[in-house]
Amino acid sequence: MKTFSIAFLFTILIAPATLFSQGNPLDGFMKKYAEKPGFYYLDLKTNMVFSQDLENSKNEKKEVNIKMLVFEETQEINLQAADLYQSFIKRLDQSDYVGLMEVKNADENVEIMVKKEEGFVSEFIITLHEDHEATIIAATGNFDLKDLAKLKDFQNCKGLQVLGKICEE
Amino acid sequence: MRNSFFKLTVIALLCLPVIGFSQSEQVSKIFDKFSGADGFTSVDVSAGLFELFAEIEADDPEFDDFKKAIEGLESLKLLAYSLEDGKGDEKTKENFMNEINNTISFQDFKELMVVKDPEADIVFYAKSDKQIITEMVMVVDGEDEAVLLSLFGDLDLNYIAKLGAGMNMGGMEHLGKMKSQ
Repeated sequence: MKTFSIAFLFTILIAPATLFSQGNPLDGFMKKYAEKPGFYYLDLKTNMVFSQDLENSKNEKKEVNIKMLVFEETQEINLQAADLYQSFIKRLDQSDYVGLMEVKNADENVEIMVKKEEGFVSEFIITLHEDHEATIIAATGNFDLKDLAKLKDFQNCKGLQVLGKICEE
Repeated sequence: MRNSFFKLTVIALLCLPVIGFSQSEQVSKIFDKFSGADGFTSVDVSAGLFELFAEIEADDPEFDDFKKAIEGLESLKLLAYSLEDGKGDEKTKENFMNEINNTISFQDFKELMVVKDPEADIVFYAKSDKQIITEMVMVVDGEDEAVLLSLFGDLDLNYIAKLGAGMNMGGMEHLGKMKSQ
């Protein structure tokens, strides 16, 4: 069922996005938990992805910024995935974000929302909430799904297998 | 006479959104009851997502058909129950089907097509305003699954079947069996 959700997420990521500003409150949220036990944090910096359009013999520099925070409940930390998820949702200014889709079953709940600025998508937020695990992905930058597909080299990183699957879809 | 006509017109206008909303409410009621329950998968897609898809430019005829299918689409709700892998049970599926049949006013819809094959009975219903299809419901009663799909918006039946292929969601594949009338 997770595969189902992930595959669908990747379908969504086709749409373009532009970089969100520095000092975003979501950055602060992710960094707050990044070093804590039970968390896995990924910050895929911009300028790491280069799109090479061989057919047209032109190199295009793409900027992609993916931040991912994965939390798995452990005995070491007194925090529940549900509380983290709620805390994150409260951080979002609901008037700025538009919910695009929700996929729900007995085990997990996936929500996708975007923030639009001046007619353009500036943030993609994907949340995956399970009983004892929560994943938050913020994708920003100047990219589309085809660019994300080039991130396959990162498939061995925890959490990014998800990204790989989406890109394949 | 003129006054009565005016009153009737006002009443009719006031009733229109209520009737339209009640259809949506019927589907929402079923979603609220079963979404998140064991064996059920629900998908709720808003107009914002379709707008984003519409902005994508791709040199791909299949994707172009998909874009035509989502033009005018305002809402997609899918609720699927699966008995695969021994997770579900027949009684829950039966309850789900009964809820669909008892909650949705199918008499307000036109039955577009019935597909019966060894694995499932699929019925497509549509409601139209003049020549425009404004709502479509697909009900799948299968051997190992039951699916309710609801689409709202200005729907083009010539392309709606393409949605099934374009969206990788369990249950949506049945949409491909619908042919334009």
